[in-house]
Amino acid sequence: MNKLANDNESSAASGVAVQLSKVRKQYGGAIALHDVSLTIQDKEFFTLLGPSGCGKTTLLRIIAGFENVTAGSVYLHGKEIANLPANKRPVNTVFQQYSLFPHMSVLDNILFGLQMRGTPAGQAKKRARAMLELVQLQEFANRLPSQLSGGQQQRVALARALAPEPEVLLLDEPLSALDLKLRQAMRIELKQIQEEAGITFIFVTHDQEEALTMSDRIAVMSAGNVQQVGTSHDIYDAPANRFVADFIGESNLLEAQVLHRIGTEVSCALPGGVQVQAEISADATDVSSGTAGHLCIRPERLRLSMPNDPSLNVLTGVVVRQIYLGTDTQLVVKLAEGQVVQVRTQNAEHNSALPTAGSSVDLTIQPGGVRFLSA
Amino acid sequence: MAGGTLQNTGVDGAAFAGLRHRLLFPSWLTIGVLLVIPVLLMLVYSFLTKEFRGGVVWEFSLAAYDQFFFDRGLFGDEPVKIEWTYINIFIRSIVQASLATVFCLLIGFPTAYYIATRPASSRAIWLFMITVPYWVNLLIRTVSMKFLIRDTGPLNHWLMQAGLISEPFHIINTNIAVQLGLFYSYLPFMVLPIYAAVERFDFALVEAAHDLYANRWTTLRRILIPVVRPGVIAGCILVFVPSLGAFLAPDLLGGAKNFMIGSLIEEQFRGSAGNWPFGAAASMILLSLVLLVLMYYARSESRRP
Ligand SMILES: Nc1ncnc2c1ncn2[C@@H]1O[C@H](COP(=O)(O)OP(=O)(O)O)[C@@H](O)[C@H]1O
Ligand SMILES: [Mg+2]
Repeated sequence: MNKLANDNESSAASGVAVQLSKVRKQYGGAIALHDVSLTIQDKEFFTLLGPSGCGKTTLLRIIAGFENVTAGSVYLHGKEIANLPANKRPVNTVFQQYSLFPHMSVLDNILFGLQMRGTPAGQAKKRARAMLELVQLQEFANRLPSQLSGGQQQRVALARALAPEPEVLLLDEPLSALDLKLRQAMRIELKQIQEEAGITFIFVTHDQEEALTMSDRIAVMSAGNVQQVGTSHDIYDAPANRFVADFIGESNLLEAQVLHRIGTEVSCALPGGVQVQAEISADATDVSSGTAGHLCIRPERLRLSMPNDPSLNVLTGVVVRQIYLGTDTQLVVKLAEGQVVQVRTQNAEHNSALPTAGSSVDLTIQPGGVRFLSA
Repeated sequence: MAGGTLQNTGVDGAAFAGLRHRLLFPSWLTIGVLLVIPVLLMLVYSFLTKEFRGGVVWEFSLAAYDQFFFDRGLFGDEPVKIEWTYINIFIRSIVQASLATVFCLLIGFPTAYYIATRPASSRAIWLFMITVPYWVNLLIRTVSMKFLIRDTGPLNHWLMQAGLISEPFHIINTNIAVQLGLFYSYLPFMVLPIYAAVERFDFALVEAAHDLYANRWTTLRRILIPVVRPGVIAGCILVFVPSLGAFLAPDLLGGAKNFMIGSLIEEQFRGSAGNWPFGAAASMILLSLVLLVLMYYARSESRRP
């Protein structure tokens, strides 16, 4: 057991907690993971984000040791761990269904991992008490899991997984069973706990808001592939492709063709002939004049413009629907060329009434808010 | 309880209470006729005087209990002397029933676990295979067992042909034969409740235990067995209790030497050698033993968290 802790220290210098190299997972003929490669840094809050069935749980289970890879390798602090069984990996999991031991008290649940690692009894008790305090469940130490609410069970699961001081903590949609208010509170709390504990978290969720608010970096997945890895900003402002643009937040995707490119700037033409300036990522080397693709414009980057605005990025259309959302109002606008776009405006910014259904509007695209996506 | 909630609705409670009693009447009748009255009857008979050629004389007597426990009874001038014959039969019965329970558990648990972890589609077939012999009457199965294991039976024949033994392995009329009979008679009573418990067991808990550094053995000991414990205990009770009172297996397979309580009691109610009050007293003692075991279990359960 101590050997594991020493390994941790010696390899911590490398800075990489978990590395997946071309990990492939096949269930019979069905491929759950297509050659996934990821590098997760030490002490990072790393999120796997993607729709249901995209392979997030499978990836987590491979890291935990519950599934074998079909091909590829998994490294933990620089060491290949393919042949290390789950109970020998210094990795703990917070399960989606919590999977608390129903016949053990909260305290015994938390003690279990410590006992298995051979922690002396006194020390284990102390550590378990500290964990209870961390998740604010001191008074519930002697309850059975069935006598706790969902939120409390979730915290016991977290305390149980944190107690043996794993090198990496895996969390499989731990908040999905909680109601909204509790979920929002737990996001902040989880992030705080991660920073205090100084442990690498690999967090799985299908909720993009959850991912954006907590993560240091996010890997967006779909159908067994990693679509993009980056910070919340990277992924929201510079989506790598249409899937990411569509999955993260709302976006208007409009067909467009590149007219010419200078570095990471392109000017594109929409079907109606309107010219729009957009950005592309530097590594999109295949994009040049004539490339067809899509423009990604976030709804809040579209502005209602004053009549006769002389700027370049102007689209004209008719309001189809006005949706009041409290702080914001969303307008559904049908452009002259037939595409439908979403426009989002903050209500506090408007002193005059917003255009209602049927009225014509001009929309300007805020500079810097447009991405050209070739894929 | 039901009456209470109904009363709270403001409807005339007394009428509903009357209805409730009427609806429960068939249950009370069944329990009364089939359970309470026979047990009371036995209790009363055990304190009556024996009638020559079976039956009883309606005259209070402690003779039956005296005969069971004492060679020289409480009521003479000489010092009390314990009669060991019947107590020994009880002890042998308890040992046999306990062994049968242990063997059924050792074989039944892995069997139940195996079946419960098969794909849902094949579980029904396995359960069917376990239960199908039990559609045949116990007497016939026990007699068949006798033919299988006797000195000239197929078991010895095969063992000798295979060269494992040179002379017949003498099983019939031994304690081993009784044990085999009990084991075979009651194995499904162990398998089925454990199967039901394992089938309900959440195997994600096994992963959780592995995740927390437990090896397979520790996971079995600290997670699986404690969680399916109610099924295991139900199985043990269902095997132990009927084994304790069994008479077919000891009679047919064990012969005269390997008498058990069941046979002793059965004999008292059969033919002219019978002694009804003594049989009733032995039954009451057996019943008390079983109740003690169950009460001990109930108490140890209620002390758990
Ligand atoms: N044990 C399994 N056998 C067969 N297919 C599986 C198994 N586990 C997962 N899959 C398949 O692998 C894909 C990814 O599943 P999963 O990792 O659970 O997705 P997610 O957690 O992102 O919702 C799904 O298509 C799922 O049906
Ligand atoms: Mg999942």
